[in-house]
Amino acid sequence: MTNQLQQQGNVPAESNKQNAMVTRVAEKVQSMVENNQINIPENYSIVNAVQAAYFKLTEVDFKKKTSLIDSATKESVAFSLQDMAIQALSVAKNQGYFIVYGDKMQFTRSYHGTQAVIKRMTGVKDIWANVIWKGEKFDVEYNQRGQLAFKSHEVDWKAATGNKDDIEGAYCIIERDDGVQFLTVMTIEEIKTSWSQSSMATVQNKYPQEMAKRTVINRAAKAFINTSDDSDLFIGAINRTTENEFDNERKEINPEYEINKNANKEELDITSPVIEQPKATKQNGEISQEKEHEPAGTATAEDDAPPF
Amino acid sequence: MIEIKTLATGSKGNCYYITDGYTPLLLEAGIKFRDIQRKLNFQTRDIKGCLITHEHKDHCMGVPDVLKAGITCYLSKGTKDELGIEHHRLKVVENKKQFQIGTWTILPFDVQHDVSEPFGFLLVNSAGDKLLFATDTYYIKYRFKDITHLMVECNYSQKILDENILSGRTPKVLRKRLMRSHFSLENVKEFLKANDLSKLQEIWLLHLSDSNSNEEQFRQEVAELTGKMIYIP
Repeated sequence: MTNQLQQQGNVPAESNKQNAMVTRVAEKVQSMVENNQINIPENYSIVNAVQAAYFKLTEVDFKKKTSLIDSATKESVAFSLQDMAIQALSVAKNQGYFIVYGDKMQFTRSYHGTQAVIKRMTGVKDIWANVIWKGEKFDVEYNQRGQLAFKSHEVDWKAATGNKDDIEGAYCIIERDDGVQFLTVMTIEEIKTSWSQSSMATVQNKYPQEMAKRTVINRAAKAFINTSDDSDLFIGAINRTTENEFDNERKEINPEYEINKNANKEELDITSPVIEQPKATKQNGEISQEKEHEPAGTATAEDDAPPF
Repeated sequence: MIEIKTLATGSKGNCYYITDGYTPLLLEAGIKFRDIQRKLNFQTRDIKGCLITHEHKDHCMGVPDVLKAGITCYLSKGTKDELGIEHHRLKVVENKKQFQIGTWTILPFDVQHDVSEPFGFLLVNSAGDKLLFATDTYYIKYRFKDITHLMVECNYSQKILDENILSGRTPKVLRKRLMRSHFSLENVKEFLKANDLSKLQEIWLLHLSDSNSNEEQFRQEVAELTGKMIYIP
């Protein structure tokens, strides 16, 4: 009964709000496409993606009892939705996530998203990554142009134990339409350094191979994107979401906001009456002596003092 | 009447000696115990306890020797875990649960620093003097009533820091860390404005940065705001 009532009460309001936001962002991105500011693949439906994102944003978090959209400013929500749409990504495919810092929402791309973005860049044919396991033979060389190039990788499929300690490294290859390949190799030490910057230790321990691929893809993509001559809004959006990558950056994003929100708010004081001035404490200010001056045991009972 | 002695302050080590005439205490032990002894003319036998705010070396490097000298050290569980020392004189105290050392009633409270479980301390003695000690925190959540003595970090000035970053004297990465771990002059002033200072007698500005602060300017700005006696050790 109550459920039904709630549903009836909620549905119209929700859909109104939703339509306004979705339409606005979709229209904005659409107008950018029409003005030739950005390129979006034909098979990407802006409205669908923004709508799907909207469902994610309005989902109420079980613990925090609030939705993402309510914990961030409207402008930042619209902006992060736009970031997602410009890159033609979809949260429904886990190509990115919305994360709130302070009261600002940001869109952070996942590595699936990075792959999708790279593939979509003009001149890029494919991007892929592999993990090098202990016992496998992996060879690279410098080609005629002095670029690091892939030579061979002898795979032992049984070597893939899924254990972090058995990973020796990972590599990522980006292939252009003209067949030229760009190779990025990372040793496990480099990967671990990169991991130490983030706070996803549990995931990294559980799925080290996937996380290693993610790291090397991000590294490769960063170098590729940042050195490409494709200077449009699309690249701007990509760079923004790549910057949001590591957790330590996240934490440091907005100290002023935190200070404004939390500083000097709560009253704090010592509650119980202060004990009487002891007379003979000059030489030995022992607690036992002071207890003579006030009802025995009250200090500890009232204060909740630790037992010492 | 509270007497405050600074034995060391700043990022090379912090240690303060306070007494109300009955129960002398140490705040922090960030220098060698030998140096503490020397600075106190070897009158350390009466010291009844030592309060530690967090595990950074400039605040606790002397702890093992202080313990050995028979002085009980009080600290948070997080700090103790990070220190990794076990000792029967190492006492864990809890956030916002007050305790007693001699004539002092002490209330530890949480502060904001990039370590495990940092504390600030509010101390009241039986004569009614109230001392607030807060260092290595980029802001304080709380407001306090009737403080008579304030010992607070005033590490850097945002303006000087930004100038130093521009000129390259201070590396850029440090800016982010500073802003999330240390008290700036600007925020100290906000803190002072938010609190009732009618009973305040002394302000001690502690832990000034070597490069991002200006003692005279800090003294003047805080004096203009509060009209109180200011000490910068």
